[in-house]
Amino acid sequence: MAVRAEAAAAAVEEEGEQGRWSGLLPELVAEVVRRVEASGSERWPARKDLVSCACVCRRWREAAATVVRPLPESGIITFPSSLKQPGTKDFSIQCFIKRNKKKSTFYLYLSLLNATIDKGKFLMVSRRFRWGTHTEYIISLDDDDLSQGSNAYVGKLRSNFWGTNFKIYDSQPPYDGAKASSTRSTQRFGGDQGECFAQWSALQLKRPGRTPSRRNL
Amino acid sequence: MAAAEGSDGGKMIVLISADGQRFELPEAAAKLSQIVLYMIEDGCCYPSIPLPKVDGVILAKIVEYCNKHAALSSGADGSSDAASERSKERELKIFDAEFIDVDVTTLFDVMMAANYLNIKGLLDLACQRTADLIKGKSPEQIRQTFGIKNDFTPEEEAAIRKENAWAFDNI
Repeated sequence: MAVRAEAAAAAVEEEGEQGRWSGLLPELVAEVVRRVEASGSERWPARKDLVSCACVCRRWREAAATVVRPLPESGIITFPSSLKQPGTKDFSIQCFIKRNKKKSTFYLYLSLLNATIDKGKFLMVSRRFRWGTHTEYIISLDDDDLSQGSNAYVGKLRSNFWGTNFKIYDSQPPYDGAKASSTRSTQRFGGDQGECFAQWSALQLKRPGRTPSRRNL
Repeated sequence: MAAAEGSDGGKMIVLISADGQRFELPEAAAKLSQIVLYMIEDGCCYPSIPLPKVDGVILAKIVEYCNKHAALSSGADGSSDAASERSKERELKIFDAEFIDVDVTTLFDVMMAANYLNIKGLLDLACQRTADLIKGKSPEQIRQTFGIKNDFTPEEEAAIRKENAWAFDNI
């Protein structure tokens, strides 16, 4: 009897404690997240702590969105959504690409060190698919999941037969960092986001530069 | 009741917790709380200040913090040479570290009380301690540590899992 009463009391206490931190005032959550960022998470790989904060619950996600300044302002990549934001005007972000020729796969990494041995922070992966007259590069956040229905699907790059005209297709509208919802329909049939032309003469036919390459994300 | 005086001649302030406990502390210590400071300035601190949102256990901790910080704040004992300042700073740092090394329930209550009483140094300390507890943890570990409910919908959860896998990805 006493044991049962004790267990009940413990359950009540646990519930009460759940309520406690779940109900932390949004401005205090933001203050905590700000301190997480200020104590070493300005850079990767420690920056994943900020992503963790944003993945705890809705309130924390909103708080993190108010604390983390967008890429164009801060010049720092934080969330996968940063990858679709325009880069900064004043400086570029150093990245490098690793290729796996056998798998026709390209991995984009953020440079962490200005050194030749740099593991980098994985940003996204792209795989090349050849379709008769054109080539598509499916872009994903997940190495193991390059399907277009996936949450990890970012978009695709389509090139013509000659590799001189590229169009990029976005999977979904730019993500505001606070809402995590997305629908299949917008994911699958996202709009045409940009186009670029490459003009190479037959004598200078070259693939884009090998690693490391500098890109303005 | 007239203003009580402490042993060193300074005024004493009486705080009453939600459960009716009395805490007497020097005015200089009580003034670390912006709310109490305003009440003192407005002359509405006698005979005592009721704090209905803070219970005795937590108020005891708050009073301990204020007493220590007021006693060691610069110039409290008239000495102001650089060496003694540095040693006081060190002592406060050690005190703060031990003071905030508490379970998460107490940490939460201290943070709420520091916010309510507007004690900036203590609020900073509690927020920093919380941030330190978060560092290096996955979202699930953070939820477990603090007992926070995951309130995302299954669709949001799926997107968030991908986002988190990406953050932790080391291909």
